Amino acid sequence: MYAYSEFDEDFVRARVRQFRDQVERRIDGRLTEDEFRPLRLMNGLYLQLHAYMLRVAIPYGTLNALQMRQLAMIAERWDRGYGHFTTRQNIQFNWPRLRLVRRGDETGFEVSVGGGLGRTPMLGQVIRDFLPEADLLPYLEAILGVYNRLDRRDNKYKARIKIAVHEIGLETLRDEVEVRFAETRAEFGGADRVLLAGIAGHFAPPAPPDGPETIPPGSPAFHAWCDTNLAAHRRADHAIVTVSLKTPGQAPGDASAWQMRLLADLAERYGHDKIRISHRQNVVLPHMRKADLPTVFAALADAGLAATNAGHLSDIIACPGLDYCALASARSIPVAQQVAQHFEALKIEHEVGPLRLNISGCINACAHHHVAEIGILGLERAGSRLTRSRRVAIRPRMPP
Amino acid sequence: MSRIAMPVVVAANDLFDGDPVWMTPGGNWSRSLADAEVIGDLAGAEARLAAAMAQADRVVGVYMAEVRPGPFGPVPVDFRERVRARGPAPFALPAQAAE
Repeated sequence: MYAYSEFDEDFVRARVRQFRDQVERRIDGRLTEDEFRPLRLMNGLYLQLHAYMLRVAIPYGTLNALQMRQLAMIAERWDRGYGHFTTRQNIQFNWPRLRLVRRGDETGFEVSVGGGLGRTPMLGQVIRDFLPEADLLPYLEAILGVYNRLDRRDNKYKARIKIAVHEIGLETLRDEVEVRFAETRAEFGGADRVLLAGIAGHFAPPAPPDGPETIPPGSPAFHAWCDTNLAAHRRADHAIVTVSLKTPGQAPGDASAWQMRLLADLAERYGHDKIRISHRQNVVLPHMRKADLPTVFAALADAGLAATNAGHLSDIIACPGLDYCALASARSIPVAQQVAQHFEALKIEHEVGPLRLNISGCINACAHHHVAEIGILGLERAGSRLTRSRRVAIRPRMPP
Repeated sequence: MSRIAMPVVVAANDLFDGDPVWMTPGGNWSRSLADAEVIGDLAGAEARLAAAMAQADRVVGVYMAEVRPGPFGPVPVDFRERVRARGPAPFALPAQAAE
């Protein structure tokens, strides 16, 4: 669990004060929209198709119960009673209002650079076969230093490491990084190792098992859910639970304030007060005792959160698409909804087995459609503004 | 941006709520596209756009959207504008606490 320091807290509070003042000044006219726009974007406030949208960062995708309850409170008090967990492992609120916003052997690494999805998907390339662990931060800083000098800041679409690698070539980049690494490595003087040890202290290794290592008996629905939505934990008496936010018929990633509070309660009571938001738009309870799973499953089922589909066809990643997003070319959510309902009616999802279906509403690829077995991309067909087309790509099944 | 064809309406978002709004013949703003002023000539449209932009204390993101006449008022030509006027698709919302 990431531990927020006094510095973090002071920083966030100062940022809130500053943004509150900026909103006041926009409303009373001291700031123009042109002046305000970059300020609100830096604070995660976007103007979407139907409303403002507030994006809230969840560092490392990790929450405790208190933080999850606070998100639920925001959803209920300042939005429409639900929030949307995104592929960025964060949450966005799709209906806030500006007036309210203001109140509211040797261990080491193989290092790859230049990978990324988005409108220009590229595979990362290996810049260093082996880097001793102790050199990780100095080496990554050297990469960033070289990139900062080469960066295409003239063009926001090209201001990416992947573009720099593509334009100058891996070999040139590697040579420059090695030169810079040799120059700057000594500057760290071990301070990075001290800092790392401090952070590592917040991630205590799990205690040895002290409970039953088998899953208690239960209904067929419970066992189907266990087979689908659990992953192995380092402790044999624990399991990692994926709570699917993909109930067929609903918008992928949406959770109501009531559901968020229930998840907070479950995490606090049974899960060491730990919650993670996954890039697949699901909520992960990472440390659940196997003995508690029947109780947890029953509580999830009562709350409409026991969809037994993690990693399967209806566990669809879908961006907000044209139903919310000002950048979208086509709708994503209704496609996800229809596909999920269709296959739910056929009851063949588990026969098909694990399968990823990701749906992006435009080339920015928020739903990571490039890396699914079935990727659907929404497009605006030139010359026909009334119809939107979709490109469907089907790839060989990949390892999960 | 491609050249815009007449007729058009002037669209924006309400500064405070973010709601989609359209400029009415009286120079006010309505949350219903049916109330929008349909403007048939470019000079008139540009004048109305300038007037809308001067209302930065009420609206944000002002632009012109092409429409064609329909039985219940103007109908957007562009698919995006239709979605904007109608709202998101009617998908099921996540479960709430039982009353």
